[in-house]
Amino acid sequence: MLEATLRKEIVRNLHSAIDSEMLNDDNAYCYYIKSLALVSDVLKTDVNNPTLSHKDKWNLIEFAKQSVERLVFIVKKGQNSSDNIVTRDETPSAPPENLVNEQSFITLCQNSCEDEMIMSRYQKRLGMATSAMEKQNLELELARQLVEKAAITRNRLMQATAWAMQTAHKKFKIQEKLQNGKLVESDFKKQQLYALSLQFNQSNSWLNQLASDLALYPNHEKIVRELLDNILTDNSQPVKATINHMQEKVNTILNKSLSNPDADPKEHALIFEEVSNTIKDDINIIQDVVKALFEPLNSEKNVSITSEVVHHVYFAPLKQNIITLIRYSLKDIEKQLVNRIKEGFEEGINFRLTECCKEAITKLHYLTTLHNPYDMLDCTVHIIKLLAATKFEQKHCTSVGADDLLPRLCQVVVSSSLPSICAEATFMETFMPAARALGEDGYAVTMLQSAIAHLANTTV
Amino acid sequence: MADQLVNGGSGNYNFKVVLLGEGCVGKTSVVLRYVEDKFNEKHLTTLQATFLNKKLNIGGKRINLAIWDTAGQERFHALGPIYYRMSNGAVLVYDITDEDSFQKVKNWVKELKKMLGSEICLSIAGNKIDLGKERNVPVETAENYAASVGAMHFHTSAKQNIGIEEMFLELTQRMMQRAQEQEIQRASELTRTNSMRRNIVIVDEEETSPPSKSCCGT
Repeated sequence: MLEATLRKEIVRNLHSAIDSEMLNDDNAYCYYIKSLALVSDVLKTDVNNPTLSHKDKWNLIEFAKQSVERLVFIVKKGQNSSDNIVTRDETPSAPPENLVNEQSFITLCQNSCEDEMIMSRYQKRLGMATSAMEKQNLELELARQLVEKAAITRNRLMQATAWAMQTAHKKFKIQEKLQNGKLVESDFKKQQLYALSLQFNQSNSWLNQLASDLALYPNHEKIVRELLDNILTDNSQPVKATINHMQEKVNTILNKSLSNPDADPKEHALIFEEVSNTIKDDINIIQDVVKALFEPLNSEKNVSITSEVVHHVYFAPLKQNIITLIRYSLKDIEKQLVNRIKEGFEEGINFRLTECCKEAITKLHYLTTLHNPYDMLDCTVHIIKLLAATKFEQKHCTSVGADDLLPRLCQVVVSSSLPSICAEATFMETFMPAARALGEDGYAVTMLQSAIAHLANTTV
Repeated sequence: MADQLVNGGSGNYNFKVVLLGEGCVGKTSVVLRYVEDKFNEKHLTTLQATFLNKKLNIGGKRINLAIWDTAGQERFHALGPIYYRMSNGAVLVYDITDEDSFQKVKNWVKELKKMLGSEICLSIAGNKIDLGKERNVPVETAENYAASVGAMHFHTSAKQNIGIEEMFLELTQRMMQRAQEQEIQRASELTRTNSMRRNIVIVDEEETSPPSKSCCGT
């Protein structure tokens, strides 16, 4: 068995190498060499004292193969840059379309070689065959295998063509943007990440399998989520590595601002605005790249799932700091709300609470524990629905309009004793997906915001 | 943000319509009658009357109306901007038996015009016309006022289902027209920018500024 510490060390080196490659750092070469040395040491020890399982050996050799490939790429890249050779005539960040041609060429070469091998193998077997029947069977088998191979080759070529067309379309879109003068920095970031991810995905058979599953069942939510989980939780994936890098950057700004809690709230508000713009740009980049990598994710339903998962991953380590920053920027409003809550308790507001109000308060507390804006919006809608539910009084139905809902919501906010709810509402409003702004979610957040605004501005 | 959402590109529209008016004038009843075709005398299992969606098909275009109900009590008046921002249309409801509620509509119109200008389409609904005998707002006064502010006036009754469908349909048509005008305007602006870009001529510096001889008299 391969020791866990060794395995960790090898994987850590690989991750560091990928990170360094992402950052265009020269250390990538060293990391790959280090991990190769480790692998060779392990394999050497295993020759003298065999302890590794077949699977472990296979994994190590595969890993070494990939590392060598990357090393070849790095060395070639270094040579190109030192020789000042321009290999591509398009924008530097455009997807590597020559990769497509290379790929189809390799496919064709591989196939012709394989055909020759099959033919020679069969000729050998034909020579050994004794009866005419046996020979006929062998010929039939050969014909069947060649037809199968031809079909597979055609399929591969079609895939390569489709990929080339997709790349050409993207290039055309970039050209169009360039002509209209609309190309921005995020476009370059998107293209870089897209190109990197394409390269990574090509060598990842597990991901390719998931992608072909998704192509077969584009509306299967489980497959969509599995694929997204795979891309967005694997640190060696360029997309996830980019998210990590983005999160680090945002966290640095947040920590810097949070280290000075006594600063002017306006200053905090400005930093929050800057941070929120950065986050929105980051999320757009990630979403666009993921959708470009996997075509079926562009359907209406899948776009929503993708956005939800990206938000979930992005905000997990950041939400708490963001909320603290918003609280610093809304210090005055929060103070007024705290006073209002105190006054409410002095009046004994809790004694008049109905069952649905109590449930809404519990939900409001639960809301503060969530970090994904999508989940928070769903929770807010649920609270509003609880409070606006139809009442049946003496066999007569009373529909609850905003006239009744808002006072009830104010009562719930006061009774919940959650001064941080201002920050939570601002967080939801800021990071609410545009598609949901006019819908039920937008309405629910607006209702919560208006209840807070009303409570913060009025005295009993 | 509304602009981003209005045009789906394939002729689909998303419009936000906000219901404004004093408390108890019948805003919730109007919207319930329009979307669910129900009045609160019926027994219903679930009812969400504060936010409602209505899907329409006008001239082959699919339209989604998101109708936002608002709290009309005076103490909540200051919250208006939170509700009507990003709105494409507003329905201002008053009770024909209550003169004060009509005055309130006038205040709303003034505020909306000031804050949103002509971006928003307005409709004024004189509700509860089933109580015509107790009318306190003269028909002429209301209609003249609506015309003077560029709004359409409708006489409605949520109880008897009068004038509501027509009011929302007319408002939707106006919002569509406004959105199409904006699209055309945006397209022409883009064309202008592009043609300007094409007309920029890069002139060689040497050719543009021949050495001046008159300055120093040399």
